[in-house]
Amino acid sequence: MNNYKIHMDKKKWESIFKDWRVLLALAFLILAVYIIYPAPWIHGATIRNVKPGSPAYEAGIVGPSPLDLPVSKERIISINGRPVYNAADYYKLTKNLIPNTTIIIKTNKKTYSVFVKPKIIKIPLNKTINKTIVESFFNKTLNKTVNITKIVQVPAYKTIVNGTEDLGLSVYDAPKDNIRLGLDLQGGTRIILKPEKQVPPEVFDQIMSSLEERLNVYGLSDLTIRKATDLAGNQYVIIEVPGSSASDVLSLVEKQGKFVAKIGNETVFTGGKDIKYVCMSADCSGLSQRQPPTMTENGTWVARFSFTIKLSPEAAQRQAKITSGLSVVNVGRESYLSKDLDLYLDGKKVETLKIGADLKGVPTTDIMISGSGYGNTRKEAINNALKNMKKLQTLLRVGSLPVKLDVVSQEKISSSLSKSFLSNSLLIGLGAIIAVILVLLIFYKRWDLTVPIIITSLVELTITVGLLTFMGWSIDLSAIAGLIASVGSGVDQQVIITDEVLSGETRKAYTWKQKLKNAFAIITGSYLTTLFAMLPLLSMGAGLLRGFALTTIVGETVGVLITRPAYARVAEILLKKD
Amino acid sequence: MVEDDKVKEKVEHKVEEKEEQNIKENPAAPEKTVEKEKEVSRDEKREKSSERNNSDENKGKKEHERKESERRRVEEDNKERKEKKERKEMREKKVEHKNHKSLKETIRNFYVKKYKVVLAMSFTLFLILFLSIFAFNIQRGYLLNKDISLKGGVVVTLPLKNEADFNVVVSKFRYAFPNKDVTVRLLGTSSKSISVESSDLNKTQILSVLSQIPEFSDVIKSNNYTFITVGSTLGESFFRQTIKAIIWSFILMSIVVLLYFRNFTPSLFVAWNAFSDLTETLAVIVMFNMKFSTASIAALLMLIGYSVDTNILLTSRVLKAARDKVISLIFNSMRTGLAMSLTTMVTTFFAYLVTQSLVIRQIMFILTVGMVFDTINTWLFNAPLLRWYLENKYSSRRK
Repeated sequence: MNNYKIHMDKKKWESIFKDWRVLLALAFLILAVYIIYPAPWIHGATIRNVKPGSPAYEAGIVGPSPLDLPVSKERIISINGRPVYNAADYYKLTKNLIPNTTIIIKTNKKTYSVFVKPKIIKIPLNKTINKTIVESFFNKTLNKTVNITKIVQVPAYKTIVNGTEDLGLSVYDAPKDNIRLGLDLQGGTRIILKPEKQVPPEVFDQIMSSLEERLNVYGLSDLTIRKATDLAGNQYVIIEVPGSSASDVLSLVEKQGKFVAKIGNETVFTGGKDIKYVCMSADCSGLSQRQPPTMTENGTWVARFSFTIKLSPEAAQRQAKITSGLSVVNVGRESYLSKDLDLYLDGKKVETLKIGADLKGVPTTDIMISGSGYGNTRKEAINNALKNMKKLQTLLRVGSLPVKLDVVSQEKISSSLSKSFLSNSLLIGLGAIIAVILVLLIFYKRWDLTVPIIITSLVELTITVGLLTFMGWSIDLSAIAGLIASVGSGVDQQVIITDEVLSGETRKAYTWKQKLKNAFAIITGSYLTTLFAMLPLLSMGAGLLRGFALTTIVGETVGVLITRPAYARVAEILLKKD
Repeated sequence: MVEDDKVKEKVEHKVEEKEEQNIKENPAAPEKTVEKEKEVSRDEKREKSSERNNSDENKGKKEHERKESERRRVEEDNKERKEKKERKEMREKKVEHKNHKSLKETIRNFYVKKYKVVLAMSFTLFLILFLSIFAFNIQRGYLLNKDISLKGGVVVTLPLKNEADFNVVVSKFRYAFPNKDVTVRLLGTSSKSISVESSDLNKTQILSVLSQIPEFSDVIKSNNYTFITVGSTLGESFFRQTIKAIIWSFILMSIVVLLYFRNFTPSLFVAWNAFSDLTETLAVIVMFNMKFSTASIAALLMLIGYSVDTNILLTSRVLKAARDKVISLIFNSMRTGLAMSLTTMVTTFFAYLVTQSLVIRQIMFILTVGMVFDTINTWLFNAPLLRWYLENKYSSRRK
């Protein structure tokens, strides 16, 4: 069996590189390398998310789409002329900015001037001042909105500048290739939701899009949100947000977000379609100016927020109709209507607002919504109030989900663990290659047979990863297990080819065509069985093992269709006696 | 029947001889022939030299001398023949001796001649493992030690710098929650991490215990830990689907095999082989009470695909072969198959040893154990069974 050696000459090399199967594999290899785009020279801080309303957002920086290839995503390369090599550089350079200045952020695509906003803290003084405000009312008799100027007493504040407002960018080290890493290899949050009850597909789609919109409003654009069904027909929504904390995402997606404003038992307006506009900018939303944060009796703090919304004309008419039947009650100097406006979120009363007597029977479209946040310290209370405000604004704007979603699983992978996973996986890959080389050397005792098998497997691996990248799939831990498995069976199949070719040599009647036909019959059989054995995994268990199944299937398909024919041809040219 | 057996033995013998030359390429075989040639030439030389001597020394007494020399020659010839015979006997003895000595040969002969015994042995292994599953099930009251991915619960993973803290964590949990299901694991080789898994405790309970250890309190505060929570309904629905997935996978594989060979019995052998691979691997998981997760299921499905490979190789090479080639082809396939299985085993075992991830660890363990059983089942069960089947087929065809 070992009695013939490979003599490489120019003619053999030529015939190898003239064969179409070899050329096809090479073309795929080049294409895969182009898609993967290994670019170790790339540096900078790639933009992950942009917070709406933040200085960066106002400067025109937009967050990436999850469909963008990692290398093509916008990355910051310098700030004020100072180079940014990684995410740490970015955070270092933006740590001590001077308020009310403009900084130049240069990305690989554009140059932005970002205005650094001062962070203003209001300290309440124990006195009140007069303030002139303008209120808009809808005048029935004139049938148009009129402005009334009023003087009200508001608590006095002292404003001080305390550092700068966050630029609103979250960044990460610029990726050096286009391979999308799964959550467990780059860190982040995965949440699996299940609709309370089975819903038809179009409703399911609606859920998906409102969830996505909610997260986008919150400034999370670099996320994947996909639906999955399992073998039992259960529906799931899987949300993966890289580099973000679980509680943030959870608070946004968990709620059905059914917002209802009622007076008594009658619904005035609901979130979503009844609301034309939700103010999210600083001039008409923020901490309440009338009620500054205060300490409660039990020592905790409460902070109030308020923002304005614009109702649809129908909702305004509805309000006018309901309020016209109410009586006016005087409380101290102020006069209110006899019933309050109650705000419900997912069936729970979150706020009760008093309605000014002047709104009786008036179809006003401008409504001030308020709420509060609690905390152990003043700062915590303010932060929570602002967080709650944002959530409420989001829910009002996007509207509710058709059904409630239950969180069935949540997962958060820290970036340090994911980094060690990544280096560990590379170690496994390297070790696996060495192990395979050793086994092949023991079996064949020849380098000239081992080297082509290893090269072919590496080519196969590259093409598979390239193809997965091209299809927008990410490589996670289970995908790595799949890659190892598929490359493993790739080596097996090449061993089949090699052995078939070698053993057949003694039998003269056995032609090359027959040998390869035999080998390929076996290979096809083993390919098909693996393929069909993996199929149920594609849909099982909310698709969490889809990565494993898909990678195995893609890897083996690449092997059977592209690299195996090329290897067979190379083996034939190498081993055939002249 | 008696005749049949005789024929069979003859065939076996023939096949053995052929096989020795063809497959194993026993290095002794070509050497032997070379030796023979050398001997022959030596004899010729001797004969020639003796002839020359005769003619030179005794010119006068030709007649007598010739007779004498002829007698001597006959004597010499006889002697040489005797010697040759002796040498041949010696050589044969040597070969026999060699056979006795080399374990490989003994095993080989046993494998070739007593194939039904081999078959019985591997089937006994299957039966023992199969029954052990039930035994453990009765003894423990449950079959599989499901992890949180299949029954719901929490896993918290933290980087571990000081390895001594591992034991501290274990004892702390034992003290704080004596009757709860908590598993503490040490993961990784170079950079280690600790994972705490529980289906009874919630995340805050686990974190509160962990944050008592100074190494972890900062990590927990800075939110830099990893966790997974799975609701129990999701876990249970995963598990129900597990069985479904494996059955589907098995059925699909069997259909492909049947369509591929278009021959029921050998296809059944292949499917049975995959079944016993699964059962035996499962028995090991049950025996060591290892955690069973969704990743384990993925690995078992992968095993179905993998285990069929060597069987397809064997069956497709042997099935249509001529009768006298069956054994040589089995050995032929075995060489290829062992190379295949060994590359896989070495890779999966290495990954099992080195990985930091529980998912990969579980997958690789099952693949490694599964490949060991697959090697046993393919070459010690399916191969003899296939031979038996083919022998029966040939003899029935003859009748």
